[in-house]
Amino acid sequence: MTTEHGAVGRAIPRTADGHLLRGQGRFVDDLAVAGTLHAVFVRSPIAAGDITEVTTDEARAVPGVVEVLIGADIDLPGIAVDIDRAEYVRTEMPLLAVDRVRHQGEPVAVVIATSRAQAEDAAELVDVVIEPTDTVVDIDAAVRPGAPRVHDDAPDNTLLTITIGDPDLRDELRQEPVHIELGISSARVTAAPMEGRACLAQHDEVTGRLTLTTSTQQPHLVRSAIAHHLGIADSDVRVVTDDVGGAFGQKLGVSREEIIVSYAARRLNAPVRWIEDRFENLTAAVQGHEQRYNATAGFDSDGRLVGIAADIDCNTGAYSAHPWSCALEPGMAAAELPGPYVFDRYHARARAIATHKPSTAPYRGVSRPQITLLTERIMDEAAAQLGLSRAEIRRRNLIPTGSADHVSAAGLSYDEGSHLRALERCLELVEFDTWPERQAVLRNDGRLVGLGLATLSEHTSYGTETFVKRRMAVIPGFDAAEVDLDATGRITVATGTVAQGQGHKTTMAQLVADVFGVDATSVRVVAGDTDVAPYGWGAFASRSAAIAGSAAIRAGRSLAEVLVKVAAHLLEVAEEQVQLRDGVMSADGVEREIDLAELGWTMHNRVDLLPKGVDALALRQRATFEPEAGAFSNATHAVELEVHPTTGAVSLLRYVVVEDCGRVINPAIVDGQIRGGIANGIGIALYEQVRHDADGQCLSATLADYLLPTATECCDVEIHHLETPSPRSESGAKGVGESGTIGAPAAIVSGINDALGHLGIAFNTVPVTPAMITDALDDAHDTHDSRGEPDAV
Amino acid sequence: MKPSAFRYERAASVDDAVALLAEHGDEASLLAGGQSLVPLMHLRLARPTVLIDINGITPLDHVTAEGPQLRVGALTRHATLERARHLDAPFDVLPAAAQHIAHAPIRNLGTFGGSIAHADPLSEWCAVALALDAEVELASSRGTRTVPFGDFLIGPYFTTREPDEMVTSIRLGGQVHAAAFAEQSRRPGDYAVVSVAVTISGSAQHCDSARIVVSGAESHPRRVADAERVLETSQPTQQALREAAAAAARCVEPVDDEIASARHRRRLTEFLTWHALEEALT
Repeated sequence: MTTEHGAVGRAIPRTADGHLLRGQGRFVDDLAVAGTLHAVFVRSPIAAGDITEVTTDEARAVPGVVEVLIGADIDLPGIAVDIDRAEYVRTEMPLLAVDRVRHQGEPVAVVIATSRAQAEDAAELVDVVIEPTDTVVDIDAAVRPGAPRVHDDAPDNTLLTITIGDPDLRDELRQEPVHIELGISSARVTAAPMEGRACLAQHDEVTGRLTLTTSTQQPHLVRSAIAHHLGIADSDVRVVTDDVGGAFGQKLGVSREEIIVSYAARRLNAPVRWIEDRFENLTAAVQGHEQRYNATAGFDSDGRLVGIAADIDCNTGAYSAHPWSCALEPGMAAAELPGPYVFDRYHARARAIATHKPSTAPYRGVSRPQITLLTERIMDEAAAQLGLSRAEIRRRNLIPTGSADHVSAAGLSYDEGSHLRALERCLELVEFDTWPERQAVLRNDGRLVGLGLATLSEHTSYGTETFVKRRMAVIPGFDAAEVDLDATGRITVATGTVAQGQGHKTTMAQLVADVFGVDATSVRVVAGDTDVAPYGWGAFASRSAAIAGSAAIRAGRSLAEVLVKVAAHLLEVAEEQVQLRDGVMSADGVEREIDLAELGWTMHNRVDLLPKGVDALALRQRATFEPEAGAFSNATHAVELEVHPTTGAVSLLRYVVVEDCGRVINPAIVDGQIRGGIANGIGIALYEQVRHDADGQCLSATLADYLLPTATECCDVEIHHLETPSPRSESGAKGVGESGTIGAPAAIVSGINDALGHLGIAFNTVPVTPAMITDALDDAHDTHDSRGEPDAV
Repeated sequence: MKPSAFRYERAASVDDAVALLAEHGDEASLLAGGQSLVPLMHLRLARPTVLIDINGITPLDHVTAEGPQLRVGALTRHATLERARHLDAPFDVLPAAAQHIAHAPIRNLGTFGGSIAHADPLSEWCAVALALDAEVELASSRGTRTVPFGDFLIGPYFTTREPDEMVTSIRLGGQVHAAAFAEQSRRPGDYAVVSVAVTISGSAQHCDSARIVVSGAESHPRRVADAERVLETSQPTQQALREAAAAAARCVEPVDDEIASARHRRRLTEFLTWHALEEALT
């Protein structure tokens, strides 16, 4: 079952993109279904208030309007997430708000009409009277005694506090020879996928089944959630996901809108479509990353990290997103803060704080961009205090190469990585040793240049154990695959995961092709239809290559075993004598060879020739894969950048990444993941910020106000791969979907601080905007005019 | 989002358009390039009940030299001006400023007259028009009139155009030696944080007078007289330029908001004023 010319490891062109390039994409809004009705949600214009009256008469009178539903009209449970922790405050998010609204954009009613324009006309005429109540939007205000409550059950708006280790640690660390006190924060950001959320529900009166075509990352989970909320059988719901125009976490779990649209299609017995517009996406969809950290780190006199104590606050917004809950960000922050560093003593207190903002949910990176910003700032500060270079402090603290059994200070077990090798390679590539001289020369010309450095660990492919530890009500650890051979010898892989641009159809084909030694482009991959694909958990947390890919390999191997057994029978040899190579089964000394086409045909059409107990059903094999602990990718990022001394604009000049995501299945696809992730990270570092005023009004409601990095803000990224195959997956792959996003903010902030450090400027918050830079330069000019301290590199 | 319901009318001539405006008054909006109006309609922030499409009035799409002045038809696309590299000083400021306007597809459709009439406070054309002492030609069924741009623009999105009038062309003044434009935005194509348009009359050796327009620092573009005075009947040395830039920064009273602090805007005002002046004089 080997091949000399394996597909794995080769940058074969992506197989499933032709239709997108030809404009033949099938996104939800492209599907032509006769008689489709259009749903438009009426959303709260204010962030907090009591609903006193909702009048729909005028809206109902608009031509084309079929139905107007308010919360009181539908008797369906809201979305609530159970977490088995005593200190967790369970909150319920109504599908349509009935008594209170808790964030701007919360849906209050839905209008369904024969055209989108009519539905929008009518939506304006739904008269929603809301008495404004006091609003809390930021963490400090939310936890202040007597603060307005987002939920009655949470007096201090704290929905969860997670504690690891001993709170006394902080004082103890302050006794160490070097201790760093550091606060960092990051702005609320949003995924802003090119295609907003979208769904189309169709009810089949004859079968009684509901088909929901939706732009999601988790078709099976959505199916189960829809069935639960509508009180029907799982198997009476089919969820179909075709092309998805980006997701980045925003399309995980089930949304209120998906449930309402499904409900309406059944109630009206007509197809109902909802297409989120950009305004809704920016103001009402889930967001993420609004966090702050207050940390103390202690180092011994040799520059070895003794411990970190951190208070972590996550502004998780109004509700708990399905199925993760508000525990997601604080939980991951507390569990993964140690990152790639070796130290023993750790304390974290992480809180989920409710405010009158949209809920937060997983957004690419989830807490790791922030913890990486924190640990890298700690390292840079410690280096400066100890008189070490930024490289040396990391050398002394990174997980040593060859550690196959590292356990982090938070108790996570890591598989082997290449932290030090990645660091050294990256330093070499950017000629780190000569940087101080190069920087000095440019500084003499009045140029503010910096070299940013960040090392990171990305926990990927979370397994059952992790979710059990999180005490989630559902444990999305495994994934599944089916591999079958048809009567013409074509192999099809059905996977439980789905892709939104990650190229799974190519990587899955590569993994399975190598089991049989066939050309990867001949392997068909299907996904995203719950009637076709095995029950899986979808795409999140950089899990698909390692988990779903491993399931596909296992299912492929089971099928290969069947083929070998049948071939042995047909060739009249023992199974051990059969070789499967290049899609052909043969045995030494036997002239006859059997290819996949012959075997597929025979197994379907000549059951009389098969060994006893084998039939065509054996051509469909299924398997699951369930990692216990996750796999840990690692990377070092370095960025050369320049700060304009007058305008504060930051230009990225050169970006180098050395990364290790285990076995690289397809280098071009891995590079794409890293580049895309870095683009997100550039946005987080320099541009993106969901802004709300004190009343919870979103001030970044268009793409002219919410600044996404475009081609002109990104720079070329040089990517170098190291490969430490993971023993924790069949494929040897670790995840790589978020590594770019995790490293870029820390690297860029490090670069800016390197460029401005001689002026006494250090930023600890993202995004760093031109105004922040020039304001800091003004302040530095006032206070540090003639101070010329040497830089630690 | 979809706009609220409107009636669509297509005007074949200026007479046609002003007749429709006379009939519908402020219920109507003129549709030129639609690059500001259509997004506003989609957000239902603008809700005209009648949309008068003037894109068929091709005589309004022209750039014509008239003595020392340049007459730009209202329907001239930004992209036309961006490509007008043949224009001599001071009108070479037009292609220079045009490249700061949004992105290529928007420049292909958006019009000069539309920007002037819409009076977005961050509009590149409004700053340039103020610096070039423009006059706006307006037509209505009552006749035509010409208004100095300084009297036309009275606030953000606010002009002295009557509801039944349309902008037909803009005459840009020519009694100046040179003009230049400088802008800083967050990303190329974004609205300016601050932009500065300048004109110099006289020569590179002797400046008779200067007009310096700062846009983005305050609620809407305006001339900064203190800075202009520095250069009046002066020799425009580097030091004079720096003093003028410093004076511009001193006399603006910048907005302080979530996009940028007041002192950041003041800093940009100084830098961009210096940059534009230097550009104009070299």
